[in-house]
This record gives sequence, C-alpha cells and structure tokens, in this order.
Amino acid sequence: MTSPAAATSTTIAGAVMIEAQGVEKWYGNGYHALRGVDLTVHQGEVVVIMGPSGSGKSTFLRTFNGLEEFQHGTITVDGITLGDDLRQIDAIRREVGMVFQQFNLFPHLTVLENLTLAPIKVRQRPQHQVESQALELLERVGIHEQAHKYPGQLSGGQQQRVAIARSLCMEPRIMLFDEPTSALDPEMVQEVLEVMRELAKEGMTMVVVTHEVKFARQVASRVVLMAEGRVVEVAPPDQFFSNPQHERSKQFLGQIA
Amino acid sequence: MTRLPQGLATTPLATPLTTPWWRHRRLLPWLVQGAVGLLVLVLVAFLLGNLVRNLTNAGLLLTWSWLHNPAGFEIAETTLPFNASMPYWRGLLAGLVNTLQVVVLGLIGATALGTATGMAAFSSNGLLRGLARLYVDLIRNIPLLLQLLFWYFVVFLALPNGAAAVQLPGLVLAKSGLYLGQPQLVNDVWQAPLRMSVEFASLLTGLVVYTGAFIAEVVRGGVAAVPQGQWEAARSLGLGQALTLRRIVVPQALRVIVPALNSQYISLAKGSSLAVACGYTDLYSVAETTLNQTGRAVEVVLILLASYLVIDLVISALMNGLNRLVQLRER
Ligand SMILES: Nc1ncnc2c1ncn2[C@@H]1O[C@H](COP(=O)(O)OP(=O)(O)OP(=O)(O)O)[C@@H](O)[C@H]1O
Ligand SMILES: [Mg+2]
Repeated sequence: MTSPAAATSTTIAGAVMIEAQGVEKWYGNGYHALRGVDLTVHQGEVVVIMGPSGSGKSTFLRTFNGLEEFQHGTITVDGITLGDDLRQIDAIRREVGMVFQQFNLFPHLTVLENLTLAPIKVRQRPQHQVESQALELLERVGIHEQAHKYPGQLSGGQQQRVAIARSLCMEPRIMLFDEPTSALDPEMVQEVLEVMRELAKEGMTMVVVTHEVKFARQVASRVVLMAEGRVVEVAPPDQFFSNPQHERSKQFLGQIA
Repeated sequence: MTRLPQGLATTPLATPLTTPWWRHRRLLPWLVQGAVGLLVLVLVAFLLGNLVRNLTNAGLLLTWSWLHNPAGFEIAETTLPFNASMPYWRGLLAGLVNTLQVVVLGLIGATALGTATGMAAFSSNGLLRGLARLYVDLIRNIPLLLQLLFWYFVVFLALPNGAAAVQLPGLVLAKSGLYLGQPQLVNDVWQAPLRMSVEFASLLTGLVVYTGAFIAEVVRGGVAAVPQGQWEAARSLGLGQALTLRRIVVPQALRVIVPALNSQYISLAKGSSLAVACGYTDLYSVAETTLNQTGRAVEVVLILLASYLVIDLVISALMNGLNRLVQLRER
C-alpha cells in the first residue's frame, strides 16, 4: 500500500494519505467558512497552506482530525472516511498528530508525562517502553535535560518542540501544524522549523499552515493558497513563489513580501 | 547566585544598617506590622473595657454559672441524649450536635448534587443541559427560608402515613418520617433500621438543593476556566472523553473550584441556623429558648458566635488543606 520511494521524494509519489473533496463548513453563527475545498495529500508530502487571515486555513486543517465538523463533502484520512462514528474519529486521531499555535501543553504534567500519557492510556503500551521512547524523542528535538520540568519552566521554542515530540510519541502517520511558529519570539522560530525540517526529511507526511516563506520554499512539496474559504492555487513552491498563476496569489505574495 | 543580606553579612566590608530604618526594604514591613498590631490591640482593649464597664453598670457582667442549672425544656429530636432535667450546657451541646449532623450530611449531599449538575452543563444532551440550567437559575433566585418552608410544609408534611406512604425500593417517605433500609409496616407504623424525622429531612433537602445550585455554578465555572486548547490537545492525541476529563480537565478545574467551594460550604453551615423554619431543633433554636428562659443574652450570643465561628474555621482549615493538595505544581 505504501511505497518506500515516497519517503524520499519531494514530489507526488506515495499513497494517498488525505483526500478532501468538496468540503463545506458553516459555523454555528451561519458563517460559511469553507466553500467547497479539495485537497489530496500523498504519503511523504509536505503541503504548506498559506493565505490571508480568516481564509479558513485553521478550519480546514482541523477538519482532518475531527476537531471541526463539516456539513458537506468527504474527507478520508489514511483510508478511514470521517463520519459520525466516534470510534473512527478516535482511530483517525491516533494516526494524526497535531501541533497548535499556542502549544497547548498540559501545564500540570511534566514534559515527560505530557509525552507518555496518551501512548500509555490510549495505545496501552508499557510505561517503561514509552518512557524510553519519549526520552529519545526529547533528545531528537534537543530538550532531553528538561524531561522532568513543567512546561511553564520552558521557553516558547522549547515548549513547541515538546509539543511536537508529544505528538510524535503517538507514532502518527500524519502531522498537522497550525502556525507552529506564530506565537514565538523571532529567535526561537528557527529551532522549531529545524525540528520540522528534520521530520520532513525522515519522510513524515505533513500539512503545515505557516507564513514562513523560506520554510515553504525549502521544504514544501506543494504550496496551497487559500482565500475566502476556497483553495485558489496549488503549485510546487518554486512556481508558486516566482510565478503564481492567480491574481489572488499575486496579491497575497505582494502583501507578505 | 546568593547575596548576603545587607547588615547581616559577616565580611568586614559589610556596612551594618547604613540604610535608615524608614526606607529599609526588610525592616520596614516589620515595623509597619508592629505598629498596626499595636493599634489593633489598643482598640480591642478599649472596646472590651467599655463593654465590661457598661455591663457591670447594668448588672449584666458575664456569668456562666447558669449553664449548670436544669434546662426545664425538652428537645424533640437529639442524637446526644437529653431531657428537661439536664443542665443548659447539655442542651446547647445537643443542639450543636444536631447542627453538625445536618451540616456534615448537607455538605456531602450538596457537593454530590452540585458536581453532577455542574458537569451536566457540558453534556452533549441538550435536555440535560437545559434541566441543569433551569435548576440553577430557579433555585439560586429563591430565598433559602422560603425553600425550607416549601420543603417542610408543602412537601414533607403533605406526605401520607401508613400504607398510603410513598414507597420506593429501600426507602419509605411518610409524614411520620423517612425510613431507610428495609422499611416494614408493623401495626400501621413504619419500622426501619434508619429513620429521619420530616423536620430533619426538610432542612437537609432544603440545604442540599439550595447549596447544590451554587456549587453547580462553581463547578461549571471551574471546568469552563480550563482553556479550550487543553480539550483540543487531549482530543487530538486520541484521549477519550472520560480520560480527558479525569487526567486533563478536572485536575486543572479543581484549582479554581476548591477555593470557591469554601465559601459555599460556610454559607451552608450558616444557613443551617434557619432550621427553625422546618421545626428542627438546632443549636440556634436551643440557644433562643435558653436566652428566653435565662435572660443571659450576651452570654448566649457569645456562645452562638463562638460555635459558628469554630464550625466555619474548621471548614476553612479543611478546605485550605484540600486546596494545597489540588494546587498542582506547574513550575
Ligand atoms: N468558532 C467560530 N465561530 C464562528 N466563526 C468562526 C469560528 N472560528 C473561526 N471562524 C471564522 O471562520 C473564518 C476562518 O477562520 P480560520 O481560523 O479558519 O482562519 P485562518 O485562515 O486560520 O486565519 P488566521 O490566519 O487568522 O489563523 C474566519 O472568518 C473566522 O472569523
Ligand atoms: Mg488560523
């Protein structure tokens, strides 16, 4: 089902990991946030979603793991079609990691406990095994000395790296990032992007909402531009940044440049 | 990095007390506290002196010997055995035990009811949410005294007796009382291992229902104070509803809930002094009878004040202990 070549390829090659078709969403107040969005993400791809504030990037990303419901269209994640079945939503959440702008670490648990809680409780794996894996992950993101501290004792950049490690500890097949560096001081942005680059290199399938152009240029397989609840343009980064096809894309790039 | 406090340093270079006392960072707070303490002492001494002088002039100086005189009144329902030939102090003690009994059971019941209703506000079941909201809004806006009168006169005193009594599994509600365990009708009179008078039952129900509504709001507020991001992070890790509540939300909510519970608990304890509305004899009503018979107004009021103060202080101390337990480490 999965082709090993996909892991190293930067272009479309592997199996389909996320398939969204005609997704429409209205918020409770009647606001039409997603107006028929299509997107296909293949294994090993890094898809970067860009777009102006309020264009529905977060809303779209959060439909992939059932944090937002949608009214029309279909979303299939890792072969499981999102529906009303709570068991399926839980199954998808086990396979999909999510990193938030505000980190959302559990403040009353130590860094290590933040990482191990879900694997032990949800995946029912033995504690010692999860703990040694967690320490390895913390080492990988460069904060293993802080394992027994509380999130509040860490800098923003360190907290976000813990949040990434926490997701990875569940051994997800897909990682979602919603503006992972937007709440960080400038000097901490790079340390988080570096961890994400490594992850991409190892072949993780990633969907990243970000305004980091350099990251998108270097790491993205494709860039998606969203505006007013729609996908306006999908293109490889070279083409997207140097030769955007749509008026809306040009306008957006003009604003962030 | 440790810095030796100025003035206490042992090196010869130290400059002892070169800072004048009125702007000394560590000395000044002590001086201010001392001054305030002295002022309070003087004020209390003055007031007490005045009180004693006035009471002496009126021939009312505090005396306590009357406490040993026979009370001469009966108390309908006591846990501590009591009859009219026993002294006043024994009657007051029996009243205190009655109060404590209803307060302790009331705290347990109100906490259970309040927690359940507070959590119901987060249920996905709209009917349940609506009912919880209705209960809280209705109960919080009706004075406790009215509610006690309602439970006693409209609900419990209206219960039928004998075979017509309301019979539930393991519980019988009759005008003659509430029977728990395995109630049996013997000669048209209910018998059971555990009996509660309707007076006690009305007071307990009133206090539990009333305080439960306030506790429900405290619990709801505490859970709502946990940021939405915590729920989302837990959910996106695949933690189910129960695990998310138990491991993530409740531990953080308790830090908000426990301090706020303290004042609800104290208000229940104080509210119990409305027992007379349901014909239940608590500390307050024994004290009132005692006052009427002896005329020792100041002494009786002092006993009442001290008793409720001690109950409140005990509740506060317990809640402070609990609070230390739930104030989780975060750094
Ligand atoms: N809970 C909500 N209820 C109603 N409207 C909402 C809600 N959440 C988001 N919206 C609206 O939906 C639209 C899309 O929001 P979304 O957060 O997905 O945008 P975004 O592209 O992620 O923007 P940003 O770059 O500011 O994060 C916005 O207009 C927003 O105001
Ligand atoms: Mg967003």
